[in-house]
Amino acid sequence: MARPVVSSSEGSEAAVIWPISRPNRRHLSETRLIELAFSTTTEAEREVSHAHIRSCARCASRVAESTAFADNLAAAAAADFEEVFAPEHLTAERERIVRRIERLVGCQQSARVLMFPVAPHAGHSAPKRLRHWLAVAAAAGLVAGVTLGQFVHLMHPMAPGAGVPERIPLIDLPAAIPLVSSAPASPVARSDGEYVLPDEEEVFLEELELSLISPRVSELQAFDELTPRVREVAVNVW
Amino acid sequence: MNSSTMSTVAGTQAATDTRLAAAIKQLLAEGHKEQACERFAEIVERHQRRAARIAYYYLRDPADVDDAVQEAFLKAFLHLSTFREDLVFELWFTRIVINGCLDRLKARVRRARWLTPAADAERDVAERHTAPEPSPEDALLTRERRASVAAAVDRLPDRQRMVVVLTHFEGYSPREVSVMMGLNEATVRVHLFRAVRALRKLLKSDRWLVRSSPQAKEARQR
Repeated sequence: MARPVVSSSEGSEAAVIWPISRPNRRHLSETRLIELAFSTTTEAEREVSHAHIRSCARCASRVAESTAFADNLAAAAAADFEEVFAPEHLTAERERIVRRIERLVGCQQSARVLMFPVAPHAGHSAPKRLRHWLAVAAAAGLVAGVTLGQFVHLMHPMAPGAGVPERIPLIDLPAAIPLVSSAPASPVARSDGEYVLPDEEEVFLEELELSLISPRVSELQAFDELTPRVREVAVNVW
Repeated sequence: MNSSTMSTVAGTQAATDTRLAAAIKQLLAEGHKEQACERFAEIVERHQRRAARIAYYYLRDPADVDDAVQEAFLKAFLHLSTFREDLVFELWFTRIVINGCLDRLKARVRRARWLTPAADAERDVAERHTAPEPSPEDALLTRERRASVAAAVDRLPDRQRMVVVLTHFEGYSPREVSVMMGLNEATVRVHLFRAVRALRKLLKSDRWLVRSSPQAKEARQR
């Protein structure tokens, strides 16, 4: 008598699968359901399973559920991809791959280098002899210019060799204009040996000292009162 | 299109890709770089969409996805000399894409440890999902459903997520996934089973997922 085969891959949910030679009266195992739904069974296994499904409404329903699950899963995955990767995107990406490979093996035409805008090509330029004469003419022009310039300089009335007028009229400054004060600036020595400053200078210095120690702007007096020490220090230093 | 026709088409495409990759390898070896670039553009055209889809399931950020896909193609081109003609080019290249995505995720975790999280990310996603929909309610509902599926897939452990993405979303067989991931085919099946069980648990409240819909049927036919 043929013995049923126990599927070992299911662990605790071990199911009994009858061999092909015997009519299959047991329900389909979960493994078999999945294999049927995901089309990974062999031809013989499929025949046995379908024989059972035809006579078992419960297993037929389970297989239908499993098959729907597998199909929906694949459909969802495919739709997801189609939505994200449009055909145009794939085409552009394909071109990029091919270009990259071409660059990799060096069979892609290198980018065209634009010529720097210089003088026309040698083939189209003036003949060599003509260019030579042009250079000679330019040098001759330079020499003639310098010589002529020298000659003009010599002919100038102010030039050293030219005829100089005997007397250049000078402006006479009036002798009465005092350029500096005639008052004595130096201290005057007294009879006791000490030096004294003249009165005008004494007055000036007094005014200067007074202006330094007194606040000049009334609006700033408040600030000065806030910082009295600074002013004192400044005065002491002075 | 039934499964046998699909597998025949996939087999033909795989053979074409492998031949193309071998031809490019030969051109590079002979120094015909320009021709190699032209031929490689064909490979880019054939695989870019799928690579972007896989990267998007991992990274969820369009800019990151673009970078990851670019890097993957560059790596594939640079290491084409190591590609063996007895391998399937598509699987070899998918492995490069996935490794690149995992590296980026690691780098992202490292960055997140040191930088303050940007509040813009969520806003960007919200702004992105502004395509015209039948009605605002429908749009909101669709957005929420997709977001919940994406969040549930994000919560899966790396290997389980990889298996779900490759087998279910991309339609590779467990055998092909086992080649890509360097795992036993039985292990891939176990990962798939665990991933689906975890997803059902995570999406228990989303009753719409277990109801049959025309869009779902269309997805299955694709």
